[in-house]
Parts: sequence; C-alpha cells; structure tokens
Amino acid sequence: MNLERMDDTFAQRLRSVLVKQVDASSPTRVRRRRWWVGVGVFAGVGLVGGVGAATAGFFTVPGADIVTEVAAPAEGVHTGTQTVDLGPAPEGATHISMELACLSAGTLYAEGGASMSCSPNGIDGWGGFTIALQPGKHSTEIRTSTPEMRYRLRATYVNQTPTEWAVNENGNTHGAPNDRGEPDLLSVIATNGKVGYSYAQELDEASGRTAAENFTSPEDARVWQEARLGKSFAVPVYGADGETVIGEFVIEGPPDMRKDP
Amino acid sequence: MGDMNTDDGGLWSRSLAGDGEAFGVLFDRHRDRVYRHAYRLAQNRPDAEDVSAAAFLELWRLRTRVRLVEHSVLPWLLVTTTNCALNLRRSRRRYEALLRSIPHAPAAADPADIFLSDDPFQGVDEHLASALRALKPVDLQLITLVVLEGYDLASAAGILGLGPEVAKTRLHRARHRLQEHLPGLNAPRQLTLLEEGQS
Repeated sequence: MNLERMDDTFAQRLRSVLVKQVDASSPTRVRRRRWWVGVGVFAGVGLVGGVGAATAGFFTVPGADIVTEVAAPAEGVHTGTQTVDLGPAPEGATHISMELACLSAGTLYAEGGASMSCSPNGIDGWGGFTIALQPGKHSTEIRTSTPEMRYRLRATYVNQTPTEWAVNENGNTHGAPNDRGEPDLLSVIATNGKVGYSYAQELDEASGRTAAENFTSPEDARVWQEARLGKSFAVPVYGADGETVIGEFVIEGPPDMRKDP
Repeated sequence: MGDMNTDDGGLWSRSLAGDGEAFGVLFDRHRDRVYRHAYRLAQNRPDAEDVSAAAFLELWRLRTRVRLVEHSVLPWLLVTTTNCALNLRRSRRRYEALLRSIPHAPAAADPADIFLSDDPFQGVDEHLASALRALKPVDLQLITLVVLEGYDLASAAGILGLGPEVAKTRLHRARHRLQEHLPGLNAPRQLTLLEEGQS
C-alpha cells in the first residue's frame, strides 16, 4: 500500500472540479483572443463562447459557431513539413479543424496564413483553428521553419454553423466573438460562478488591448508589462440588459515569481 | 522518479483545447507527487490537500504561462505547489468557495500521517520541513526541483527564470544553509537529501 497519497475521496472530488473547469473553457476563445493571452491572464474562470459545445450538450452562446466533429480525427507527431491526408470529406463537413502543439522550437505555418512560433522552452506553442473546406480537398499541409522541428497535429473534419448575436433592450449585441467581430457585451463567467456579460470596451481596457494599440515601441510594452506584474484588474459583469451588475471578471497581470519577498 | 519522463504534451494540448478528461488524466498522473511535496512543506493532511488543490487549480488558471520541462507539467506544478504552500492563506482565499465544496477526510489520527512523519526517507519529516521553510523562496524552489525531485539544474533554472551560473551559486549556498538547519541529520538521510540531485 502506498501511503504517500492524497485521500481518495478528496482526490475524486478535486478531479471532478478540475475536469469541469477545463470542459467549460473554449479553444476558440483562446485562439481568437491570442493577443489577450500574451497580455494578461484570466482569473474570472473564463469567457464563455467560441465553440458552442453542441456535442457536449452545453447551451450555446449567441454568436458562437457550433462546431461538431463529423469524422474521426487524425492525430500524430510529425517532424518537418508534412501533408496530412484526411480522406474524403464526410457529408455535412464544412471545415477542417486543426490543433497544433510544438514539441520543439521553431515556427509552424498552416494553410490559410496562420503561423505559430515556439520558444525552445516548449509549449507557448499551442494553437487551434478551422479552415473552410474546398471541394475535393482531402489534405492539408503544415510547413515548418526547420526540417527537424517536431510538433503534434490533430486534424479532423467538422461541421461549423454560425449563430447570431442576441440584442438587448438597449440595442446592444451580446454573446461570443466570431468571424464577424465582437458583440458589445461579451459572454463571461464571473468570479462568483454566474454567467453574464462584460462590455468589450471595459475588457479591452482591463486586459491592455487598448493600451497595446498605443504602444510605439517594444520598450513601451515592456514597461507596461512590468507595471502589471502581480496586479489584477476587475471588470463588472452584467446581466443581459448591460445594466444590472451580477459579479466581476478579473484579469490578472503575470504573477511576479522572480523576487524574494 | 517514475513519471519524470512521461510525455504530458498530448494531454496538455488536449486540456488547452478544452478536454477536461485529459486534464483529469494529468491530475491522476501527478497528484501523488504534488501531494507528497505539499505534505513535505505543510506537515498536515488538510493543509497539504488544500495546497495540492490550489496548485492544480493554478495550473489551469495560469495555463497560458505554463512551461513544460522535458515534456512534463510536473516541474511547473512543483514550483507552484511551493508557492501555494508558502502562501497558504492567499491560495486558500482565491479558491475558498471551491475548497469548501471539497470535504476533507475526518481529522482523526491518520495512519498515513503517522507513517509519513516517522519515515525520513520519504522526505516529509518535521525537521526537513522547517529547514525547507527557512530557505528563501527561490532557494526552496531550487532545492525542491534539483535535490528532492531529481531534475537537472538547467531545467530547474529554466523554469525559475534564473541564469545557469546564478542557479548554480544559489543551489550551492542553499545546500549549505539546509545542512546548517539540519544538525540532527543521520547519515542515510543526509545522503538522500544532499546527493540525490547531484549529477
């Protein structure tokens, strides 16, 4: 018997909490807001949206694409430039969904102009996206900056159906960001666990998107980043009316782990 | 060091893509190592459980900043476990509601706790715990990764954002400081503690 273990009951409860948190997140959210990921870290549990996880039986956020896998994914580890053949597209397929993760340093280029650079330290290096299907096309090419670069690719045919944003009494759109842009109010989960909306403009100010647009040099960005170390920025979360405050969404600057207290 | 070379890359990418079960498997894979380290610092089961829980919750909350070392999330988790243990009150406050929803086992004397505190080879005895707590946070991180968990100095320095020379000097001094704080060390434990990580 191994006694150096976490109590099993505690472990099982903790595990289910963790699994739920991850399930509630959205890959589309991460990729569409990549600028955000580099700038701050979300603490308000997460933004709802991107993919309405129809397959998982979740509710769909207005404006989110409903993405459903319609074929078994092709998954594998590759080295250097590769063409991945997915076979004939099944009925209902509208896009190819790809998830890439770096296993070594370098840059990956996908069709459609997406690229992803990875440092020697590993996974800054995760990206996922969908590309529209072209008739008769079964394969997709991933190019690498060096022939020895290693990466993991998961690719599959999906059906991607767009949905419309909802509009509240004040005429503000609300829901998830999509290819058409962002609604006035973005669907978020507040720190108290309630699902509500935050104004895109307020999120941009808190996350630094607004500031980032005004940087004139890398030095500006560095100074600004350092000023945010260890700080957090709260944004109100409203009901769909955009007026009733129901909680707050917190965006954290990077934790300051370098100094001795 | 059984798990050290296990490749977490696939599970980690799937977790980032919103696959909860993949994150669950990462939890299964590392929960005991994280717990053991938390216990080493906290010295009692409820605190060690809260610290472990906070470390895994932080793994997810800070996921965009997590660095895999040798394709593993464990080094990052161990560093975060140390931070959470040093800062138990703050870690608890952040996850207060969540932690309250996860019941701890009754506080009656737990044979596992007694076993753990009696067995210095497990690295969780009281003297070691207080000696570890006396170290500066960065030094504690280095000792944890290199001496207690057997990672090489370069990996440890990388994840802690230290230059190789700085890491080497700090580790050297931290070993000495640890030795000073552990006057009652018996020979076998000293070997375990001070030579395990040397390569």
